[in-house]
Amino acid sequence: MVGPIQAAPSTDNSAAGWPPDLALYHGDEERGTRCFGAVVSLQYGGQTLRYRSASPDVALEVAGPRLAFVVDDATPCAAEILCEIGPVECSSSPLLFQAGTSWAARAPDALHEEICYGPDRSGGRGPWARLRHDNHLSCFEFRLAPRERNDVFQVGFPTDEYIVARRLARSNGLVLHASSLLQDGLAYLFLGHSGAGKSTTAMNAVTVGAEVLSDDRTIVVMEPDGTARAWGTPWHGSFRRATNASAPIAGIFVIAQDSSERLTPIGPARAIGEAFVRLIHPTPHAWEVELTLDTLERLVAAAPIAELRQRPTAAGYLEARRFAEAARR
Amino acid sequence: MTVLYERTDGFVYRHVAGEHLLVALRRDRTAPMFMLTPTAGFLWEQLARPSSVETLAESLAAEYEVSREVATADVAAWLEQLQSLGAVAIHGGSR
Repeated sequence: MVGPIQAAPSTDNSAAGWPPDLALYHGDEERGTRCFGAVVSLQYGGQTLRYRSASPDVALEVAGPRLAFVVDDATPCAAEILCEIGPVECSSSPLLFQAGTSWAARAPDALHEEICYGPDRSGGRGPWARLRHDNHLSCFEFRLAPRERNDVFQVGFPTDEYIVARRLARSNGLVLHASSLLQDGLAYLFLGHSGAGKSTTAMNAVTVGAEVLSDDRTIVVMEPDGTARAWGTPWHGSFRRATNASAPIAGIFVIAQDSSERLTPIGPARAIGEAFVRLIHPTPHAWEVELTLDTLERLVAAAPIAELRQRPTAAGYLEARRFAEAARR
Repeated sequence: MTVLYERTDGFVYRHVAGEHLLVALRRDRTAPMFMLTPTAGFLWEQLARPSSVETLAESLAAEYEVSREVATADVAAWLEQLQSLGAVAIHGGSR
């Protein structure tokens, strides 16, 4: 009578599992690169990160879609990241989390955590970067191993997404592996692992008037009045589109490729499961996972969620909008 | 000696919209979230303190209309499943 333990059902829309690939950022030739000197501030989902160079000989640089997220340095910041270039050594303290071979989180002492990125991308054995921070997630030190050019430090990858995801987990927010589209003041989210069609959905939606908040990763923040708000991010997919804007979420859709459009509403428990497996970045502490589940519970209560099976056309997006509009009535 | 079972610290439990969810903290697995039946959810709550098969079966039989024999067999099978997931371990034993 107790019954078997069953894995929570999940839309199988990709062969990819956890952890997601930490895709390297290659810059965006169309939008260029800008040098900011010793200090630059970027804001994602209301979280302002202030990057500072540890050396007067190293200038900070921002490239591609991240340029749209640069804010004035007078903006109050949530976290400061001191950037330096030098030999990288990582601690061998107890492991908090291991993300494949991409990175590992450890706790060198009771007050700090350390993320070690490696092995070296150029084929070396050692780590290529290290991020150390306090338990409050406000003071960070990011050290990059010496490279060909050591007078310029390109800020962003891999620190900004990690810091924002960890901070949001503690403040009613999260980062989802979802593209998000903005139309008529409302946001529509399309959840999926790599290959599910997030960028394709975004590309097709643009042809019918939508603006792309993100074609790969979307910040969600639960506001005090219960509104679920989506924010654009520069962490883009193959469509390479990002907008620094936000809007209340009108609907969330778990996408899968099919030969015709079919939209099926899903219940709260399954919706939490579908979103949970598409969260960006693990939270290494149980209490952070508890907070994330709190946020997910409020999210699925605030926005209608459905599975959307679709062809690679704009029809699925239009169907999703109709569903969200009907849910609002 | 009576064997006691306890929850590990690798999972968190949630009762959401009538569903009992067990969530793996380390999501480096293909199925990071599990759905429990209401009776399994009841047993999970009983495991707030280390418990034996007999104690759990007694609670189950008292809560639901089921014989002690059936309850004992179900509890043993359930504990075996949860042990294989890493959600339950023998109290004081190696994990």
